[in-house]
Order: sequence, then C-alpha cells, then structure tokens
Amino acid sequence: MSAGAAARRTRTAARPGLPLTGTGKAGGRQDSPLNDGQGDIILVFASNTRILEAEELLEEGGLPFILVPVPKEVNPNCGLAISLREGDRDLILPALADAGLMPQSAYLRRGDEFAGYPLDGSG
Amino acid sequence: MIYLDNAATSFPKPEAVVKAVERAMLAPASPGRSGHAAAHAASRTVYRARKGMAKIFGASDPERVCFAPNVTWAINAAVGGFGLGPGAHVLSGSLEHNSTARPLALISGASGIEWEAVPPGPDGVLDPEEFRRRLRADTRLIVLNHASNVTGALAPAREIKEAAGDVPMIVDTAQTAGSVPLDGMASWADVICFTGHKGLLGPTGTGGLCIREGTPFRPLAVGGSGSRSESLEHPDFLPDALEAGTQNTHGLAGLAAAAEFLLAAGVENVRAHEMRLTGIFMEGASKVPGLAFLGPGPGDPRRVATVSVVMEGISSSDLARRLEEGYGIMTRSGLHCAPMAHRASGSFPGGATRFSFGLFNTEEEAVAAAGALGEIAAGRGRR
Ligand SMILES: Cc1ncc(COP(=O)(O)O)c(C=O)c1O
Repeated sequence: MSAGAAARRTRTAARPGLPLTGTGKAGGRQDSPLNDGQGDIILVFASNTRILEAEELLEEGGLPFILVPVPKEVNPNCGLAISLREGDRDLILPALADAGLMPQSAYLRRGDEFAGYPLDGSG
Repeated sequence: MIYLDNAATSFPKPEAVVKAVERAMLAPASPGRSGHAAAHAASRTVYRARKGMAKIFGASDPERVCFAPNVTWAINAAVGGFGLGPGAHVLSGSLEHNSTARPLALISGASGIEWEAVPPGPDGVLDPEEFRRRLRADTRLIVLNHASNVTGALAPAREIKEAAGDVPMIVDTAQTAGSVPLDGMASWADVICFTGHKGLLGPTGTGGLCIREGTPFRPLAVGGSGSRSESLEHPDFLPDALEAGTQNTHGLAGLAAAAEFLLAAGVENVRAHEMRLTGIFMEGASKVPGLAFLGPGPGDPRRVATVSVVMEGISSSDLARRLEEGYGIMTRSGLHCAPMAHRASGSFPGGATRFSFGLFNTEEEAVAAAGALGEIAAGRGRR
C-alpha cells in the first residue's frame, strides 16, 4: 500500500478494552484488528520522551498507528506503546529509523498471543 | 506601580502562560505514569516544554533537556554530574550568584577540590584570556554565571569556552535565557542551566538543564520515573535520569506556553527592547550627581537590562524604600544573593539598589526611574 493510501484510510472506532483514542490526526485509526488475519506490531520505547517524539513524527507524517498502554504481557512498564497493523510496517518502521527513533523492543500480537518481533528488517 | 525587579522574577507573565497553567490544573495530570488519555495529554504538555526549551538553546534533541524546580537545583545536579574528587581544579567567574558559588564552596570544602574565581577586568567584564592563563592540567570544570544579576555584565561565555579547550563548562543562564538570544549555545556549552520564572516568563518552580551529548550526568535524587519500573535502579538515560518524582506539570504547561511566546516574539526583539530601556535609564541616571553604576557603563553593549546603582549619602535599602514609597518603583537592594559579585564590584557589604527591566516595561517607566533618582539625589524626592 502506498503512503498516500494509508494516510487516506479512515479511522474506525477504538478497539474495545483500550481506553486511548488514536492520536495520528491525519493518519488512519487501525481497522478492526483481530479478524483480518493481520497481527499488530507493538513498539516499546526506551523512554516516555522517546515515544512522544515518535508519536509526533508519525502524526506529522499522517501515518496510521494508535497509542496503547504497554501490554503487561511483554513489559512491566507503566507507559505507552505504539501499535500498528502488521501490513503498515514498511510505512512506519523506516520513518522511525530515519529519525533515529527506533523502539527498544517490538512484539507481534495476534489476539492474546505475543511474540518477539525482529526489528532488523528481516522480519 | 512600576515593577523594575525582573531580575528577581519577571512580571507580568504573558496571558498565554497564565491560561496554560489554568488549563493544566483543570485536567488530571500525571505525565508518563499511566496509559490513559489524560496522562498522555500531560506527557505531551511536558514534551512541548522540552521542545520549547530545546529551541531556545538550539539543542537538536529535546531528550537532552531535563526539568528541575529551578536553576539552583539544576546547577547542583550539573556540578554533581562531573563527580569531581580531590585534586581537581575548578574555575568560575567572580560575579557568581550563590547558586553557583555555594555548590562550589561545598565541594571544595568537603572533597578537597580547588576552586579559583577569575576576577573581571576594570570594565567589570570577564576576560577569556584570564581564564586561559589560569588553566592547569588538573582543571576539570568551568562554572560560569552568564550575566551578573548584580552588575548586569554579560560574560563572553563562548570565548571563555573556546579559551578553555576541552575543559567542560556549566553555564548559569538565569539572567540571560529569554532576554538574550541563546539559540546557538547548545552547540558549545556542556551544560546549560536555566530557570523558568525570570526572562523566560514562565511560572516559578520551573527550570532545568540542557546537557550536551557526551557530558556526564548523575541524579541528585532517584525514585519514580515512569520508566524501567521493574528495576530498583533508577534509569540512566535522559531525561528520566534527572527527573525523579512527578514533574511540575502545571508549571511546565506555563513554561511551554512561555517558550512558544518568546519564540514567536523573537528573543532578539526582547533583547532590543530591554536594551533600549536600559539605555534610556542609564543615560538619564548618569546625569545624577553622586550616583555610580556597578559594571559596564552607559552605552556598553556587554550587559543585560539589570543596572545596580550606589548613591552617595543614602544606603541601598533606604534608596529602595524611597523609590517605592515616593514613586511606586519596585527595585531590589542589598547583596542580591551574590556577595562575590559585590566584592568584585567594590560594593560589599553595603550592597546596591538594582533596577532590572523586562519585556513589559515601557520607555516612560525607564524615564520615570531615572527622574526619581535625580529628585532623591537633589533632596527633592517625594515622600
Ligand atoms: C545569576 C543567577 N543565578 C541563579 C539564580 C537563582 O535562581 P533560582 O532561585 O530560580 O534558582 C539567580 C536568581 O536569583 C540568578 O540571578
């Protein structure tokens, strides 16, 4: 999908159980996440400031993501993480890498299952 | 009322600052701690303040900006970051405020560190050559008050840093941030310390440090940070390393608005306005018999908008009182928390009466202040 197509994608309602509304104003809210075969990539950042920088970057780029509380299954921290659809990875990860804002770790979530997600570009 | 005590704290604050603090207080706010929308909004507010301060100092990475309650706290943290021990030699200016002088006195007393203060030249301004001459193989740190809150003398900080070579420098910008363009400073100063409530036009209880890449830092306090919660060790990355405990979100909302206000107004325009008023005041006051200025004289651009005077035959405190009672002019008398600067200026222990102009003062107020000095000196002062 082109960046333009992603940016034009419209937002749907927030995922049940996640209190946050998405922030990427020009970006699309994720489509219904759990039944289209795609997983979600959860990006966990080293610091709260880092995630705010990443959020700002993605928001300014109109890229599709939402903020979610860091899932307790993968990380005990109390802050936020960036969640994106697996299919949007090539829109988002290069943008973060270019800005020097790569996450500390990433996970692939399918339903209630979490697995480590490699960030070296091979995954 | 004519408020000429902006060097103590600026007044008034921009409307946008007052409103921003009010808005912040009307929302639940615990930045970086919880995952809900209100906590995130608070985090974004603090981040806006970080970005604003990074812009003021020309720092490319907002993560290098750490907040603290004021510049005093920031200087203590900055000095501690260098972990100096016995045998280290530290240089400072001689126009230091107690907020740099006391941390240096403390470590030189307790840790066997040698602290040497470099005197200003006869013109009241520090000379980079004098720093170069005093550099030694064991000189580990330079601590510098960027502008004297007593004499108004502006230190040639960048030239001193250049003269010092590899020796790191901590700069106290209490009297310059927001009043003097500093958007190149982060490229050469190792630690910039600032306070939010003076020239930056923000609320009290805000301040911090901007730390250059590669410069050591060490927490003054450890505790909750909202990051690495699983560990009993405080995070070692910026800004979290230096921000233990819930941050002053309400104040930082005001500081964010203040930084945005200043960046929109242009700090160079603030500087021009303040120096115009200073020029008018000094020009008028220089005609008053028996009145002496401390520091750089009328027309000298190597100063900020803080002017201290000593009047023959009247103490600094009586003069301040006469100005307030007879004219509603608020100044500050005494030693201004800076006995070193008064010693270096020959005004210790009597002190001086200080007039400090800010963005919201007017030419009429500068004229009125000089006029009041003239009347008091001539024995015709209003009572
Ligand atoms: C040069 C200088 N440094 C430090 C300070 C201390 O500022 P704060 O009380 O905000 O820490 C002041 C003001 O009082 C000052 O003028």
